[in-house]
Amino acid sequence: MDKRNKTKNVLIIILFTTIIISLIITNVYFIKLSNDAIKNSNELKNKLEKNEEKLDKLNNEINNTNELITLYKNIDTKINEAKQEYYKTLKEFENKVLSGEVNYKIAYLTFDDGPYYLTHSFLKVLEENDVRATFFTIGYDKDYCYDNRSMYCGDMYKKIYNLGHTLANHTYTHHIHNGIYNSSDAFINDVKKQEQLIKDRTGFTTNIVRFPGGSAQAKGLKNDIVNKLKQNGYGWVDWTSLNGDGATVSNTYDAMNNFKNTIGDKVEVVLFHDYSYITLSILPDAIKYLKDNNYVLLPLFYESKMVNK
Amino acid sequence: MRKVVSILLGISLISLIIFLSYNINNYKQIKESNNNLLKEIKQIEKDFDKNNENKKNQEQELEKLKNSSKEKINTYEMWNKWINEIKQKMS
Repeated sequence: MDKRNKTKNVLIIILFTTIIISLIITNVYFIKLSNDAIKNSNELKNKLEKNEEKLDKLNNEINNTNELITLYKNIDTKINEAKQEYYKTLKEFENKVLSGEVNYKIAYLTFDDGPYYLTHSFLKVLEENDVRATFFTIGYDKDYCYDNRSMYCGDMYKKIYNLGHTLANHTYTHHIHNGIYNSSDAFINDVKKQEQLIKDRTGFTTNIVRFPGGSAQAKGLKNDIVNKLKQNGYGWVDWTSLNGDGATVSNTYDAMNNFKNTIGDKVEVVLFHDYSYITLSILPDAIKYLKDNNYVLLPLFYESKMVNK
Repeated sequence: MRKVVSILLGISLISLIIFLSYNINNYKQIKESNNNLLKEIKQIEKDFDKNNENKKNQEQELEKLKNSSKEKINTYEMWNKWINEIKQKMS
């Protein structure tokens, strides 16, 4: 009996011991699994963190690109806003010049009767000297551009406009005799025709006009024309300085002297013609002369005091 | 003596079972947490791929816009330069 009991006890102890050892092994196994899982978890957390950073960076880049796309899509609006801001700044500057608040003077260089095949060369000189000017254009080409006009004048409106110069209206035909000064309606119709031409070529509608031959040329019709221009939203401008290139001047010396003799006021509107070889020759010197005499050369704008409204 | 051994074995057995239960539970929790992390990682990777694709499309669009608006951008910068020049003369 004792022997049987002893055997039973031994078996029970062996069974218990086996169970305990199995439990210990299983525990160790699970501890190991947990440790591996924790290690894995840390790696996953690191990876998650890095991925989140990467995603944030990507999202920032996307936002930046979006802003650029918006800017590019609205570039036309932005350019128009910048132009408005520019003319607003010019108005402020002109006021300060006229009131003597700043020690500068202003010269508005204006070129009449183009575009002409020389206009390219005028634009080049202006660009080289970082100067913006005003071009009083005419559309009718037979009298003024000869054969070359069809070769060179086609894209000129756009070029003048894109370089930041002011495109202005000098009537379509410029026919002083038996034409635009026959009646105020004839004048306005001619202005409207040139307005349309400028619009077709550039998409821009100008609101500054110069009377061919100057406003005095309109004689008794002047008041009527001025009123009609006003009704059509136009301002008009004559000039205060010239070199005589539209009349009898025959050499650069006289042209430069004429020009210098008519310069002196705080604000000058200079009349040149972009069909004149003489003016093209003296233009760099004329610009230098103005700059040396503290003039800032600017394009005309509707709000300028020099534009009659 | 036999009783003491039996009690000790019993206590050890119960302790080991409790400990095992704790370890299994702990392991399960870590495993579940890892699965969640994996899901998050996969989701982020998916988002990243999607956004990356968007970015590529955006860059293509931007490139096209840049090429077509190069002149306009220059014009915009040109006007701003002239504004600043006049402002400097007034200051």
